[in-house]
Amino acid sequence: MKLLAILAVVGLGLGFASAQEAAIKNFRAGILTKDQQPTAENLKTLPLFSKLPSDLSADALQRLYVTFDVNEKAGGAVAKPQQVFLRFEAENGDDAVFTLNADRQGSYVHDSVLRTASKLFHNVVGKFKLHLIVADAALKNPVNWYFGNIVLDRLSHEELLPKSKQVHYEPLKEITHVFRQPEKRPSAVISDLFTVICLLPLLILFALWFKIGINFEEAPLSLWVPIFHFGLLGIFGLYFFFWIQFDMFETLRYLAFLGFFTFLAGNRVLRSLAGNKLKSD
Amino acid sequence: MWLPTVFLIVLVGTQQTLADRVLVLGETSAIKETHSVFLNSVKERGHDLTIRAADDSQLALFKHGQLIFDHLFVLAPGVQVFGGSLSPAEISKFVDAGGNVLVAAGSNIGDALRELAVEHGFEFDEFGTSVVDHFNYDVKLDGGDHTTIVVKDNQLINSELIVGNSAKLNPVLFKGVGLSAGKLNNLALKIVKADGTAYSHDPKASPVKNPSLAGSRTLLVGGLQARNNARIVFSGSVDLFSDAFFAAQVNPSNPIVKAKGVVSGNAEFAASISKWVMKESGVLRVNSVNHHKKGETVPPAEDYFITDDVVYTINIEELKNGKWVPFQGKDVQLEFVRIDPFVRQTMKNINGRQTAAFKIPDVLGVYKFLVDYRRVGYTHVYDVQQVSVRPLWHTQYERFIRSAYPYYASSFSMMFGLVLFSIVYLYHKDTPVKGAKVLESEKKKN
Repeated sequence: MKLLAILAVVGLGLGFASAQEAAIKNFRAGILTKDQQPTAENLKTLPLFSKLPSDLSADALQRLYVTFDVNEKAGGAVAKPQQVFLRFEAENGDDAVFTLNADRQGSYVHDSVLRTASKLFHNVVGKFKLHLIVADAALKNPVNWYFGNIVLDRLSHEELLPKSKQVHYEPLKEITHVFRQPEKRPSAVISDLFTVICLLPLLILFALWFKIGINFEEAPLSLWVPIFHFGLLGIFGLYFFFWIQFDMFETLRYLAFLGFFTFLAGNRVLRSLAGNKLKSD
Repeated sequence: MWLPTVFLIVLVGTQQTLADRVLVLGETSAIKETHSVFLNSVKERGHDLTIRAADDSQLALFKHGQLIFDHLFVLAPGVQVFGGSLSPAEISKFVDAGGNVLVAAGSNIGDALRELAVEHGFEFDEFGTSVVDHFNYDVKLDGGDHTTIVVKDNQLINSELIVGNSAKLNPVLFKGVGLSAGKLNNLALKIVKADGTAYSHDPKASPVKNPSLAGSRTLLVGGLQARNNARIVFSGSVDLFSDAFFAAQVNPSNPIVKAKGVVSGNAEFAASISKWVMKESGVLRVNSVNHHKKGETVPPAEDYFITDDVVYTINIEELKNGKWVPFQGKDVQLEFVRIDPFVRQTMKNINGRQTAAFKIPDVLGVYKFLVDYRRVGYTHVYDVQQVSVRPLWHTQYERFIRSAYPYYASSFSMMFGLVLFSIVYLYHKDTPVKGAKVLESEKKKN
């Protein structure tokens, strides 16, 4: 504590001994193209602590040109403060700092192509606040002057990190799975109408049979006849149950049984029919 | 025979649960006096402190391959070479084994700490440099170099777990060397950054030509939580933890800072940052995970089917004041991932029980229920449950569709027609019709 107090006293003493005030004069700033010379027309002159009336805007090929003199207020001697920085402050608070060096007359020039300067921005683009900072431990009036805005277009390509290296500390955007939509179906009326249309041929068959008149006069009097026809009906019935509940193996088992008898019965029926025909001829 | 064993178990148990073993390294053992308030506050929280000089030849972090300390505080800025078996590589191994490290440096920084920082993705500025801020220094404590910096609350990281309630915190005093996070250090946390007007340089040197660190990129305190959840904090200032700064009154040069003549916030800041480093705050764990079909309570015996409604539940707990309590965070997200996430949902939190309900996508495959919760200040919660999603059985699809009735009708009318037709075709007998028609036809034949 004592040490600190002594330090403080010494510090204050030093401060008073070398305290001086700096004056910033002849401040001019502007955007130049690649080979343009700085002239009075393309640079704007600003008095201290005022602000550029409009935002500067530039792309990667242009240059930002800032020049000013720093002198001691009393006497006008050349002052060389330790900190003479031009600071770009992005809207998210990130910043990039450029140092400025004095020539012998105490005048400072910042002249940089924004593409080469862009490396310092870490790919930040958009609107930046421009600050001029002139300060020194011996300066009584450190200056942190917000003198204008600059709008920078995309300066360099963003380097994308591989997914495995990305670290997200914020909640990510929600994802809802988009399900495949079922195909559109016809209305009930249309499908019912077509069901009826599909049943019509059977009805037409009945109607025509009725018209021409059918008989069963050739039917042989045999037990095989009903067996054959019920067998055939049974096969189609089995088909129906295959559709409703049976699996293939069950169906084949029943089909082997049914098919065998139907085949046998069919054979017998056809044989007797053929025999009848031979006889009648 | 069994009594000593039980005693030993109890002893080991209490040592592991209650008292964390902390190795504190100072430049000399005088650190006990100069930083007594900070060290005592840690001791009062129930930890075992071992205070040594950084060049003590007996120093070791491992014994028989086991950690003999849980945490390491290096409050020795000037140390060039660590004593004993300690070295930056050894400390790195300590971190890999789950140890937590707090490093405080200063303008007289030695090679050992610079190397240690590089091992962990940070870089301290060179020996003899200080962070200088001509706009935010302390009027009374500063020695004229403007290196005793007053830290405002907007320079602190926005995380109550790490720095405490920054809105209520009095300005923090800092005097020391600048720090920068490595370009490839994705895990770096900017715990305290410098103001935009600050820079790191030798305060006595000629005008700054090319500062390695300037503006708010300069870190005063940086930290990271490694992938194994070990925590490391680098402070550019060992004075920040000193008794002198704990008791000092703040007189900021910047008129924006309203707090004048108040006691510095260093004590509170040091307490919360040491709690964070020592994993007393911001520690989460997964208690249980469950997923099942809606309306059931256990996972399906085999697989999920596509378009099943599924409910996922995860219980997360937080360590608060030494006790595990339900975690109250409302931003835990569940992902349903098959290479890429198909579903990402923020879960509902009912007193630590986080639930999400959704419909499984209509795409079969092997999926993961993934909770990857990473927030500043909290340990990383990562939980994966793998499930397979299979397509429907052929019997599980919709049957008897109305618009397919024409197909059904035509098939079965066809079958029925065939049965009838076979009867008619086989047994029908044409009755010979007497009349002109037959004759004509017979004529034609002839």
